[in-house]
Amino acid sequence: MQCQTAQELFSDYIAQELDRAMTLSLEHHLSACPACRDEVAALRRTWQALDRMPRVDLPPYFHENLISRIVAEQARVEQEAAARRAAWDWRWLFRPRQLAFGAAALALVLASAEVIQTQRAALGPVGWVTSLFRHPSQQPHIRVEWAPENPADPARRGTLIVRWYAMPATPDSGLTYSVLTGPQDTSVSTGVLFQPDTDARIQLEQRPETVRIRVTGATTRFRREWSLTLPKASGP
Amino acid sequence: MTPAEEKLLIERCKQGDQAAFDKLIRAYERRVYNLAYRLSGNYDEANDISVDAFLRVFQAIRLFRGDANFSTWLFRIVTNVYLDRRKRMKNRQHLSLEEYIELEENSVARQVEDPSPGPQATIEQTERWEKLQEAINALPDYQRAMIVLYHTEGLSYEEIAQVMSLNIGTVKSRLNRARLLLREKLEPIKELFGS
Repeated sequence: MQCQTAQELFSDYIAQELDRAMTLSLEHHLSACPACRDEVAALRRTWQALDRMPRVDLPPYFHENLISRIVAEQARVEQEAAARRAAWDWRWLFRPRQLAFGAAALALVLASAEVIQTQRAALGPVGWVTSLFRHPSQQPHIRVEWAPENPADPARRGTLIVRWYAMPATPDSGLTYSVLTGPQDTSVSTGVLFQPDTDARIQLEQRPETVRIRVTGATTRFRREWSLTLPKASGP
Repeated sequence: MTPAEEKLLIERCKQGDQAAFDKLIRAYERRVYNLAYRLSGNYDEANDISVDAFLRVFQAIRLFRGDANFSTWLFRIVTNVYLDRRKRMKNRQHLSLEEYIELEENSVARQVEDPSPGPQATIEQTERWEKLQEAINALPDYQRAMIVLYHTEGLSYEEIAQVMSLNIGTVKSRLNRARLLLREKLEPIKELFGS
């Protein structure tokens, strides 16, 4: 056995972890090599000294200082977590869901602005403001009725009664109200027929199934149309 | 503390129980401090390493899965803290053998626990441990860590392999080289070790 090979086995030899054959081989080398023998003896002393190294005492207040550092660290971590939760992250805005929601909200705002602008144009500044405080029953709405001349034959000749409630008068409002009763909009009555809180009466040869009320702005692109189903016949 | 009690304590620590963490620290602080001292050879640095290691334990205790012993996991953290600091502080040397700690009114030499009686024996033994620590300090960082883990903390080859992320064969061969190098460094003062 060479000295270099023997050296690689010294630790296992001292720890008695070599198998018998290897132990005999190394001991045979040691018996013939004083340098390696001295080396093993010195290593054994070093090993024993290392194993006997005493433990040192903790510094004064080690535990207390350590605990205070950990408590401070815990407070710092919690503070940072709270700050992260409260922090505004602008990248959040650019996630697909937020973008879609933002686009929908913008469209709604623009549409609402258009409606409000038209309503304000129709009602005038004072009328529009006062309309905001009206009771729902006093909000603008329309009612239609059919009054046949002969109640026994309600589908034939009669009067279509249209009444506005709390609607601005035309033509002062700048809006045009139309009543469409025919399948091809053949029967049109212009807004001049209507006055606020008064009935508009239109003589028709046949009872219409549905009545469409159209409101168009004179100066804006505002255009609304409602389709109303006539209730059963009532008296004129 | 039995392994079952320790496991329960660790579970409580994971739930953020400060009293449990306090108890866990008390169970290990002396071993951690000693390991840190034997690794660094410096009391102040041992204090810093110990505090940093326990802070890391506090931050990472939820990630401890119990695959290894808690002590092995803890010693791995201590060793990593030491090696990280060594990398950062490569040019700083702390080789003073006389360490002092400051108290409020005066300074006193730090005492090494020594059960043997007699002032002469104490002086000789103190010198022996200082020289031995000095020789350990002169070893390369990884060899120093292995020597300390094996001889002063009593870890097995397998545990050292876990702590240092090496295989057992590598640990054994490197540890053998570290011992031979240490013996070589102690050769000039071999009379202190009973040659």
